[in-house]
Amino acid sequence: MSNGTKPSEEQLQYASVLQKVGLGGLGILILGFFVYVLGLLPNIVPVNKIPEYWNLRVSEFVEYTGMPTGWKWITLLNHGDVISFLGIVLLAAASVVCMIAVLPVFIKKKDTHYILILLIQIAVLILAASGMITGGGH
Amino acid sequence: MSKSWRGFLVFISLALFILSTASAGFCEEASEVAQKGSSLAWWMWPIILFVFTFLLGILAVVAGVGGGVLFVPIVSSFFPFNLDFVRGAGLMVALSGALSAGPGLLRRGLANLRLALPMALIASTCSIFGAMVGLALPTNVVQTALGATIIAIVIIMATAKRSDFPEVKKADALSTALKISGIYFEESQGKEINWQIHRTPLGMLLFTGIGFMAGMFGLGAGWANVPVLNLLLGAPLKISVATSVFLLSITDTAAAWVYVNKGAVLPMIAVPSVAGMMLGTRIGVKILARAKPKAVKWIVVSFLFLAGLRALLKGLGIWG
Repeated sequence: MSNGTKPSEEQLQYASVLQKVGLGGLGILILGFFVYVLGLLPNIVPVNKIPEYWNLRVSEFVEYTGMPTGWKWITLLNHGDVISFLGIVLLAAASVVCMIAVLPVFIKKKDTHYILILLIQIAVLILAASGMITGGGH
Repeated sequence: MSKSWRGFLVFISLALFILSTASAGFCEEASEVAQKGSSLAWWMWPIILFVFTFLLGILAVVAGVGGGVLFVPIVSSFFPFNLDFVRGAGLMVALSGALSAGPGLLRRGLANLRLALPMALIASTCSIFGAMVGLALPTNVVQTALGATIIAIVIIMATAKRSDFPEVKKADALSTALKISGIYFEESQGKEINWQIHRTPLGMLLFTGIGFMAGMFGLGAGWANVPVLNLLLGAPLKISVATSVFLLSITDTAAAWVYVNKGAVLPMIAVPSVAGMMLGTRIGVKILARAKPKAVKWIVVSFLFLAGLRALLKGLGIWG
């Protein structure tokens, strides 16, 4: 790869962080799922009961099963169904972690436009993750 | 393509068809399931879903169609899960595919961070609104809109042309200010290709709609990203495809959080789907290295059309 085609420093750093977080998230996703279905920890909703609820809308599902919404799951990490959820959360958090990691590179280069884009993007993702914005329910 | 490969791919297509028909049969039990439980043991469902998405992953790669766009219409049409959970799982399928492909594409200089970030900011913000609207609207309305969108996607897939190296005589002011351009090594020509883009503001405007639909329907948006990046902005096809995959890792993340926080990502549906699709995609890449049958693309597109039609008719209360 010549100097002209070599990706920028920030692009390579983004790739490196994305690989680590993505692989870690996928590993935990699969591992957590086995903890869940093998019943290694107690579940909030027993696995054999899930098919009775998965044809309901999510708002009804939450109402009938008492499954936590937002970040309430964090206090229930001793449950199999919540552990299996951890990998999902890690995958959803991967991009924001990468952006925080490459922000110093853009700051070092004084790349004002991209510093601003990244800061707004990080804020948008954190706002989405915070649970403050959710859809209505039916 | 050798006869054995053709036979293998036809076998996969048939297996997918039989599985979806069988699932649709079980699906009709769905209302009874709520009252007295399914005749099918609970552990059969993740296995069926895993096998189904594994086959779907193979066909998606061979046909050159994104797995994310196949997942939601097909699984929502033929499995007994509520559309809310299918869309949540669909976002995770598209997201995990993008996360696993992203690092390699960025390192090889095919996905471009400077091109992706401004588009991703717009698409991801709009995907949050799409997800909120999708979860707020009645299921039949979302299902009808999904069906109409899928049929439109099929038409785009069937008719859209692609350009390997679009001509961009002059970069526009916005892309110049953002320094969106690059050089990559084109193996087929054995030389370095310089590229730049134009019509950036119009492209950004279109990404508002793409992001909204990705969030609302839980679809991967490669079917829309690639034509905009390639035909409108003028990025080379390889850069457009790779940047589109990487873009999904950000666009779908924002929408995924809305579904996650609402409780609409059920591990029992999402995890076997993610695992099946990723494994199938890897096998599909190996098959693709040996064969690229056009016929498979048309089988998959026809299947997608059928799923879109079923979603539309289901939403209108005519079928299922």
